[in-house]
Amino acid sequence: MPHLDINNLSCSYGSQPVLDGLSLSVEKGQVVSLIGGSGSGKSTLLRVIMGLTQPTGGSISIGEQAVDYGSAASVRAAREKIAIVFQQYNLFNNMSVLRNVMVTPTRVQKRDERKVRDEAMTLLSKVGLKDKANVYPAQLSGGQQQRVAISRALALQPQILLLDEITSALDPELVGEVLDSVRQLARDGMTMLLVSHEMRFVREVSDQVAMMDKGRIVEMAPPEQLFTQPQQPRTQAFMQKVAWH
Amino acid sequence: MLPLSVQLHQLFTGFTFTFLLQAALSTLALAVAGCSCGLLVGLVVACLRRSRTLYLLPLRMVLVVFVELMRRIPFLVTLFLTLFVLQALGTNLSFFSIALIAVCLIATAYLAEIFRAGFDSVPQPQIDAAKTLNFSPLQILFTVMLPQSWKVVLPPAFSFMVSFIKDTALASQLGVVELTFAGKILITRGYSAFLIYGLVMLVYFALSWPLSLLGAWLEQCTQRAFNPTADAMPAGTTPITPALPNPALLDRR
Repeated sequence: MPHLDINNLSCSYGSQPVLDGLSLSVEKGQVVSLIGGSGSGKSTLLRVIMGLTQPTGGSISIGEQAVDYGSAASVRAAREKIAIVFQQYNLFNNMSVLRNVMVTPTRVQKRDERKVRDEAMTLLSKVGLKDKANVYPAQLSGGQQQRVAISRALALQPQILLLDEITSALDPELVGEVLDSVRQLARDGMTMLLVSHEMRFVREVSDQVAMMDKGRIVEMAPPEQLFTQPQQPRTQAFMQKVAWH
Repeated sequence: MLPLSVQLHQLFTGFTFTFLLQAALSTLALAVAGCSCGLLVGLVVACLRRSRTLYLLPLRMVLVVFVELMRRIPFLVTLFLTLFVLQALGTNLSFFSIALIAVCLIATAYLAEIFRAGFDSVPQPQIDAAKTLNFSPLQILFTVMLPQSWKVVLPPAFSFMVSFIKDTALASQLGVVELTFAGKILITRGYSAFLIYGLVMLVYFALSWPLSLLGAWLEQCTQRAFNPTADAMPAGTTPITPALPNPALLDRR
């Protein structure tokens, strides 16, 4: 039984199809990476899953529950199980680091403030930012902000974590610290669907890698197989062009 | 014209003083009513204009037309329009009430636009993030958008409100005895124009100066709020703390 099951999903901006009958499933505890050129629909797929962009066809189920993107209640239920980390961190600039991590569990999930605070501090120390708890996002580097964003997503205790090119906006020097946090999550058994251009990282951390092109998955395989013996011409062309770092 | 000493004596005693005080209160009432209504209703209008719900579409269109129209019509024309529309509807309101309604309409339109600009300054991705975290629309408004909007909203809002106090003088055209009109009446009764307008000027100043001070103070608060180092940094730069602060570098600062 797949944890996240995407079936024949379509989405278009105006008359431009962005996702074109895409199917994909992620098993519990698996890390699945989406690779592909820009405009291939990777980020749109994550936005559709999160209910930020309306799909035009197909279905998504989480666990055994099908998500109805026309119903606000159904989307809310889905968002309780899935969290996303964005490329641009998107932290709330008016809140301290600790508030950013705590605000959703306390204000939205209405959980006990003291318990949440302890959990938040644990999450922050996991990403090495315990001493920055009372600092505002504007005072942090991009890498630090992104690690806070990861903590904020994890504070929801999601079953599935989506990562949307989380290192693309970072200075090269800061990429490592963020990827380390993700590696740790993968070891802890977190189910993740991630979009990344860090090919070495993808190869190392993923259970499955899916090559996307024109809103479809052209090939999906374990990383070793996809990176060393790509079957599809589109994947072969992509592998020849990507930078290996 | 009476001698100045007599004028001064009469001005600060009995009827004349009460007359001026009442006029100043009228001005104050118009300004306070306009600004409070403008802040409250303007905020609601700005929020409604942002909503994307389909069944609110007709309301949104009405609000867009209202805001854009009100900001393009002279204050005086709005006053007369309000007067004639209310008369055509058969209402029997006092001129002061009519001025009050007009003042509220105008302030609402202007402040709604100022709030809209403030909301637009909050990066959309932050709002997307709040949505994915299951924030309700009201939570997004009060915990994410408003706190970040103040920095953009306060300067034009206060500058509008300060000039708005002066604009209430136009209500005199409806026969409302507010400060400016009261001054005019006193001058026709033989007071020196220099004396009366000087006094009127002082009262206007006394009404708007505290508001300016409040605005400046609030602006300072919002500038500092999320960025304690902002004072030390040149405008437009983002302070970045190194991951591992180097003591040698810190010393040099």
